[in-house]
Amino acid sequence: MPDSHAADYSMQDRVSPGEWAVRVDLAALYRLCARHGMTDLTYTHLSARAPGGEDAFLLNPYGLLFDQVTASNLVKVDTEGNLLGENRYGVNAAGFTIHSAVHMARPDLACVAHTHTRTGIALAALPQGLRPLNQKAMQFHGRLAYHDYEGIAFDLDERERLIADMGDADAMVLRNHGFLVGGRSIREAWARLYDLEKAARTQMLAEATGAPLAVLSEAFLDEQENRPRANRSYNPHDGWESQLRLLDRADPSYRH
Amino acid sequence: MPDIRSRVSEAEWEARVNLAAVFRLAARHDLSDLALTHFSARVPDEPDRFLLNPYGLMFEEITASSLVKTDRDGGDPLETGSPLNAVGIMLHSAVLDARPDVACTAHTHTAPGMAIASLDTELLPISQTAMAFHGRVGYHDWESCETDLDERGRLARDIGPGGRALVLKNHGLLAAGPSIPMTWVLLYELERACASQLDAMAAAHAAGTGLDMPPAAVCEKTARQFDEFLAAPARDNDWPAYLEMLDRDDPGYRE
Repeated sequence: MPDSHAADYSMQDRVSPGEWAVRVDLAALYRLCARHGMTDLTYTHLSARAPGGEDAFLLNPYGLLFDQVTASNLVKVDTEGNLLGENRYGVNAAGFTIHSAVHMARPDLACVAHTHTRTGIALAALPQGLRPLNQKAMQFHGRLAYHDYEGIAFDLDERERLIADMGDADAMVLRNHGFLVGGRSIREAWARLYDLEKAARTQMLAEATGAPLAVLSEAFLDEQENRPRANRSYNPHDGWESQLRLLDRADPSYRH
Repeated sequence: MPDIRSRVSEAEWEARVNLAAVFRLAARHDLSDLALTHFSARVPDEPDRFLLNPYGLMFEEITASSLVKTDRDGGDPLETGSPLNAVGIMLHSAVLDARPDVACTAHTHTAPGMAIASLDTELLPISQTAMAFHGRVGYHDWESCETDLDERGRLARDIGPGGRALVLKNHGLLAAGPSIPMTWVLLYELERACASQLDAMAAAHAAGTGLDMPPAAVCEKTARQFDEFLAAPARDNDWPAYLEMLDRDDPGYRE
């Protein structure tokens, strides 16, 4: 069992300032998912592209819970999940293949987040998928990809199908499995992941009633010309800095 | 942080502390949507101005000083330079302008609130909690993600002269109260009414039964009893208890 609180072991002076900044944000993302109940024990990954143009990615070390992840204990791997550089932890390479496929196909995405939440798994089991029932869900209207389940192991063939299914979407329902979202930054991926989760939760509550839904027409949704921009734009007022200060107050160890 | 307290009246400062407390209470009860929704309070001695949360701050970080004094045009008379949410200015000024009797408004994007707003059904008077809003909740159709200042007229129409809540269809909820403390109570009870209705409807749907609906006269009588309660000076007498609870945990909202 790796020691997640080895205070003497810091990567800060061993990596570039740019990589360190990505590490701090990615560790914060793990802690935010933990705070919001979006974890599945030690499973699932949140990954970020390391800066500098090389095909190198940061993700959680194998065996740690999300609220034990720190900037220094994140591991750096290549596209096949092989460890790069210095670190003292192992990596769950099998779980990384899905991330690697997305990172390779979508160089515009700096971060890929995959979850197995109660709500996400439930929505992934519904043939109707996510409905554009409300403001949260509308940003995904016509922009949410779906990928059919094929089993745990991702062979090379499935990677190609997964990428084809995702296309240029920034979020995907992995049917019978969970959610996957990307972002042009870590904070953008977090805002999208939070919204997708809440949109799905809202739909679960509404559909369970069996009552007619307040469905907006496709024509109305299509004429909302701001919709594509709303999905892609970075909101400087997304509260990311404020959320990090709240993490700092509760437990700043993610920064170490 | 500039010294806001010395630049505002005692009455405004008290409103700031109370509104900051409502944000902290909402955060404790998981009624926030990261930093995305907004609450307002009319400035007591400047009735055309109101306080709004700065855009980008989590509810847990909101303090009396960080609230921004603004008006229906988004002005910033104290020149704080803090960013404001354009939808927030439009939404809250619509209700405050239309309803001089409203002191405070609170808007949420909770899953139960958005779920009720996503149904082709109204808030049903199936509980005493929900009856507080019977005939006193308006429904406002979804318009657009973009801010249209003309929407203010339609919001004013939809909350009407006696509404104390709005279901913003396909969007969320808004509570509007005669005081800051009472707006907290209305928000909390509105959220509870929505969540309870969803549970009851799901159970009734699964069991193949209907909902037990009291007679219309009882619903109206109960709503009138709430009208009287909300008009009585004693309505806010329990507010110090909320502040004491917050103070024990973190009195930072008072700063």
